[in-house]
Amino acid sequence: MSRGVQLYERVPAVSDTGTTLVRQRFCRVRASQVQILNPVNTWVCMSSKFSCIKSHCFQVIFNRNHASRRNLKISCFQDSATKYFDFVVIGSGVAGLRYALEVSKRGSVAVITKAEPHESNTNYAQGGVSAVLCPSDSVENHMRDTIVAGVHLCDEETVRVVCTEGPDRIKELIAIGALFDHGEDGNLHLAREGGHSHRRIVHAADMTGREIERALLKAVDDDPNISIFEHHFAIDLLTSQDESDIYCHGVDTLNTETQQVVRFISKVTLLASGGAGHIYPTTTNPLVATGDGVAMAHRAQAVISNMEFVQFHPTALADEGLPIKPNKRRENAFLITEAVRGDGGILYNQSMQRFMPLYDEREELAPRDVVARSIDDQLKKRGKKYVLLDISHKPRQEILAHFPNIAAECLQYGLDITSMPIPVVPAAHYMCGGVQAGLHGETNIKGLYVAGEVACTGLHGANRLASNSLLEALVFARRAVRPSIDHLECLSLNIQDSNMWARPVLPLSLKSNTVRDIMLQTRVIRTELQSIMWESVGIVRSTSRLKTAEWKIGELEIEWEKFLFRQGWELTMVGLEACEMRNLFCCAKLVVNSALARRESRGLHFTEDFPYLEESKRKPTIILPSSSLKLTWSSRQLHKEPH
Amino acid sequence: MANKLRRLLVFSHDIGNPRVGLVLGHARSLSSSSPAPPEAERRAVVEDEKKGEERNGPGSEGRKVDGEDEEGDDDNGGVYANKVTGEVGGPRGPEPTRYGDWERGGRCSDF
Repeated sequence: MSRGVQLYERVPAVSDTGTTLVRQRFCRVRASQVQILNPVNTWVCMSSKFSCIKSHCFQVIFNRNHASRRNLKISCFQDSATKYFDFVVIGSGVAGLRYALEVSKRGSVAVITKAEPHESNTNYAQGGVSAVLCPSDSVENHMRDTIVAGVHLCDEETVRVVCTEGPDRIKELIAIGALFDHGEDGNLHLAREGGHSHRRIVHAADMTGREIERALLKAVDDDPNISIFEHHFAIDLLTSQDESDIYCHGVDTLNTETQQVVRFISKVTLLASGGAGHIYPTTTNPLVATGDGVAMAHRAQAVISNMEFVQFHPTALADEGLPIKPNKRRENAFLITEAVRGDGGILYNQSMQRFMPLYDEREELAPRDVVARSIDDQLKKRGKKYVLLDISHKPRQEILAHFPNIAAECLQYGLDITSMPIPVVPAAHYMCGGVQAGLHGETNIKGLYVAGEVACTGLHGANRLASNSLLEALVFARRAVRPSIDHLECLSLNIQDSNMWARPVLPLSLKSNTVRDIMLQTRVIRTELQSIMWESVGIVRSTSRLKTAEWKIGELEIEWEKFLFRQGWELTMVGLEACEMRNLFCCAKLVVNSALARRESRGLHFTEDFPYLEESKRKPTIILPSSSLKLTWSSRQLHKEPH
Repeated sequence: MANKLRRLLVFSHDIGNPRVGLVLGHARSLSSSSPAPPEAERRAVVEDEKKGEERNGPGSEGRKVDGEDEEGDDDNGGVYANKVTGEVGGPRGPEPTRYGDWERGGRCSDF
């Protein structure tokens, strides 16, 4: 068989010769049949080498007349396609992109991202990245601050590695093109955030995450060995098992723009899919953060750890309390700074009682986690959706000078913060737990590595120190490179039969009304799940509320699945809303189960039934793969569904 | 009620919250394992900024609203340099991390 060429054209168009450029079509043609014309962005993939080279130079026109010729093999799959890469990266935040830039030196890389590449938690991480860069600072100091913040649940070796390697990772970022703020002396300007004993936060104005993302994306765009697949939602990892080991061979995805299933076969997979804030109703995370990575890994039988440690911010703007409600649901929460309380802001419940003195003699100036618990306690006791933060007793000009962003945001919705209190509610912000990772980002699945928020590396322990998350992502993305390359090189050249896993299918057999009904009902179910999580798996927990959550979530999941399948949904069908929902269910259950398992209070996990620290419980919470035969749709890989 | 409230306090720890030292001066740390936060340094920074505001007189708030900062200068070819911190091209006005989190104009982006 002659060497074929796989072609992926980006832009559909009809040329004036009457031929058609076909978008996202997989075709195998003789190279000689292809005319190379004007430059656009096209990938040319040499199938015999199973590597892909991105070329900027080709626009390919298929002459329809050729299609009928016998010597031309064209197989065009409208419904699905298979792509082969050495490395597949799931997620385009700092961890995914940093890793891609390194491994691209050794093989072809596909970066899969479910929306636009910049849409990740990284882009919203505006503070900074921490590292020991000041002569008077030390790795030991950074380690100690991290371990204290993590309430001694951190893995000490992980902390040492991250704090030690941080400075080099920052320097590399600068070499890649990230621009950080400097001082007049020409050195990096280092800020100091809460919990840090020294100045060590490197930042780019107040858009550090965005700047890092920008620099990495530019480098990735310039790298011919890396292909980004936007709007590709990852469905399930492709895995196989022999007696003792599980192997990862790639991932199934759904191209949400073209509604096609695309299967990626890879030798190495990096999971860097970020957070799961949307298991809660109010979160700082963008909409993409639905816990896809943790869910896929759990279904693939990866070990999950410390999911009970969810970091909340105590005072996010509560839309429910605004005089004019926003038209559409705010996608990510507007956090009100501690400076409002620092400058004299007072917290009231909706009966206008000042409640902080009941909880702490420092009142509004108590540490953030105390304030968060106090607010949560008030909300649950009173069955309300928000409390009030009042700064209106301060001089008007001072308020407007210090907090112009809050003033402007609230004014849009009819609230004048110089004369009215601000409605606030805690917002979910960061998941300290995730897929359990070794010191090189390795998991219990061979060929699967993790980095970033989706991983549980042992750095954060029971509570994340500010600005350590970007640092963790950088360090682990880099550390996963060596074992990834080793794994790549020791694999045999035999490519797995890409059809050994059942392919996900689109709901083409369903009427469009039915699909729409499913989508709408799924959104209702999502809101209910978020509500259960907030009411019963929030900041102040209890065994009885957690058990209630466990039961309610189980019932809700059964109700949703019954509905789906009654409408004709089949086990291997996929759609964005349905797949996100199954991931949200999966993550929610992991959080509840982990919270039930920790019979002490530590860091972010507080439970009324075990309100103290227990030294004997200073261990991570581990969740092993489900061995139950009665698995729900959300807890089994799609390709393992009986069909 | 008192027991319950105490429970909410008991395991939380002061992780160097600068405000505590600033306002109360003698707040007790709830965790013996936390390092003594260098409150004096933080207090000095915030107080310097407050003094800066007072020095500028009653009109200072108005000037801040206009977006000018008395503490910086534009010697670096038009780029703003903060006199207190030495930061070039950074934000004007109060230090974003002065209360432990990272804020701009009241919106917190990191903590």
